[in-house]
Amino acid sequence: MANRVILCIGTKKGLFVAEASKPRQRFTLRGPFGPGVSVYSSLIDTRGTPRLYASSCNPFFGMKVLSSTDLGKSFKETKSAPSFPKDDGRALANIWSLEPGKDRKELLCGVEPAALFRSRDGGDSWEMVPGISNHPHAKQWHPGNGGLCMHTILRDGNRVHLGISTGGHYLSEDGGETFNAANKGVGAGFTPDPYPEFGQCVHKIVGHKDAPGRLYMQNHGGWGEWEGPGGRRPDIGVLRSDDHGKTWRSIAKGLPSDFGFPIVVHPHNPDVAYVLPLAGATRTCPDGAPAVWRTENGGNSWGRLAKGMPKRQSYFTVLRDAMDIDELKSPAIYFGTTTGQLWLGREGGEKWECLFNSLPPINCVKVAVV
Amino acid sequence: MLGASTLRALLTELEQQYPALHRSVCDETGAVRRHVNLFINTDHMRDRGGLDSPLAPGDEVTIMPAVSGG
Repeated sequence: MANRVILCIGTKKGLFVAEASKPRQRFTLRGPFGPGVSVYSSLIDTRGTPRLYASSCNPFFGMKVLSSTDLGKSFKETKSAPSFPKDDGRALANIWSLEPGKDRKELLCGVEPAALFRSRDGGDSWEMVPGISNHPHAKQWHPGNGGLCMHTILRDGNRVHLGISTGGHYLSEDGGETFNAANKGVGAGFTPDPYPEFGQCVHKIVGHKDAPGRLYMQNHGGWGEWEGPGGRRPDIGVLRSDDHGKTWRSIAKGLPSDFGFPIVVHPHNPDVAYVLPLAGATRTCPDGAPAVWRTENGGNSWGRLAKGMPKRQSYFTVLRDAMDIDELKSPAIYFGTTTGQLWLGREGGEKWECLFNSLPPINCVKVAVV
Repeated sequence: MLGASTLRALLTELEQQYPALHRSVCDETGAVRRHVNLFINTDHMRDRGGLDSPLAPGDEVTIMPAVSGG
C-alpha cells in the first residue's frame, strides 16, 4: 500500500529527495545527489517497484542519467545517457524531461537541442526517435532563453504530445512514429505572424486521464502590452484544447498575467488547474506577492491562492517543471523557486507553508505517493 | 600508456579503449567539451595546434576541467 510521499527536487547543485508519511507533517531531506551538478528533470517511476531517475546535466563532462531503486537513498549512473548518432552533427546539451514510456522498462527523454530519445531497458541504452528528432521543421526551431529544449512528453494511448521551446506543440497519433505540428490557436509574440504553424515558445502542457482530449498549456504570454511589429497579442499565455491539441483557445482572462512557466491539473478533477503567473517583463512574482491561481471550471474563471505566502518583497521565479501536485485525496501542491524555497500548498493550495527555505536554485519538482 | 602520433589519434584510441572516459572528454561530434582542457606536457593544446598537435614518445597528455565559479 502506498504510504510515503516522495519529492524529487532538482536544483542547480544536484538532486534532493524529501520524504514524508502520508499526512505530510514532517519531510526529511536527503542529498544532494550528483552534487554540484544541475538537475533539470526527474521522474518517480511508480510502475512496479518504484524507481527514481534524474538528469545530471554536467557542463564539464556531459549528461548523465541517475537512477535509484531505494527511494532516493542512493543513486548510480545508468550505463549510458542519450547521445546523438555520430553522423548527426548535433551534440547533447541538456536533458529536460524524463517520462515513462509504453512498456514497463521503457523511458522517454526529451533533450536539448530538441529531440526525443527512448530507452527500452530502464535507461541503460538509448535510441533517438527519428519521427520528431529529424522532423523537417527541426532545422527551423530556435532556442529560447533556456535553450532549444523538448520539455514536455505526454502519452495518451497511441497519442504522444511533445512541447518544444521554441518549436511548439507536436502530436503523434501513431505511437510516436510520426509527428505533426498542432498549434492552431497558439500565439507567438516574437514572430511577425502572431499564429505561426510552429515555432511557439510553449512552456508546459498537461492533460488528465479522465478528460480525453483535454489539455492545458502554459504558453509564453506577456504580449498584451506589446507595441512592436504585429501589435498586441493579449491572453495568448494560458490555453486549453478539447480535441487532443489540434486546436487551442485562450483561458487566460481573469489572471493577473498570462506569463508563467508551470501548469498543473488536479489529480481527481480535470476542471481544476493551477498556474503561477509571473510579471512578463521580469519573470518574477507580480508586485512582489507570489500566488498560485486556480480555476475550478476548466478555465472560465480564476481565483488567487496565497494564504501563508509572503505578501510583498518576493521576486522569485518558478520554472516550467518546478510545480507538481500529489495524488492524495486532498492533494497538496508543491513548487520550488529560483531562490531555493520549496513551498507546499495543503488542501489543493488553500494553505501554504515553506518546507525548505535555503536550497540551491530549484529547476524542477516531482512528487509521487509510493 | 597509449601510442598515438597526434592528439586526435590519441582521443580515438581513448574512445576505443575507455569509451566512458572518452564521453566525458568529447561530445558525440568528437569535439572536446567546452569546459575540458587538454595539455601536452605543460602546453594547452590550443597553443600547440589543437587536436592535430603532434605527439612525441614520452609526451604526457593531461585532461583537466576548466576553472569554474558560481
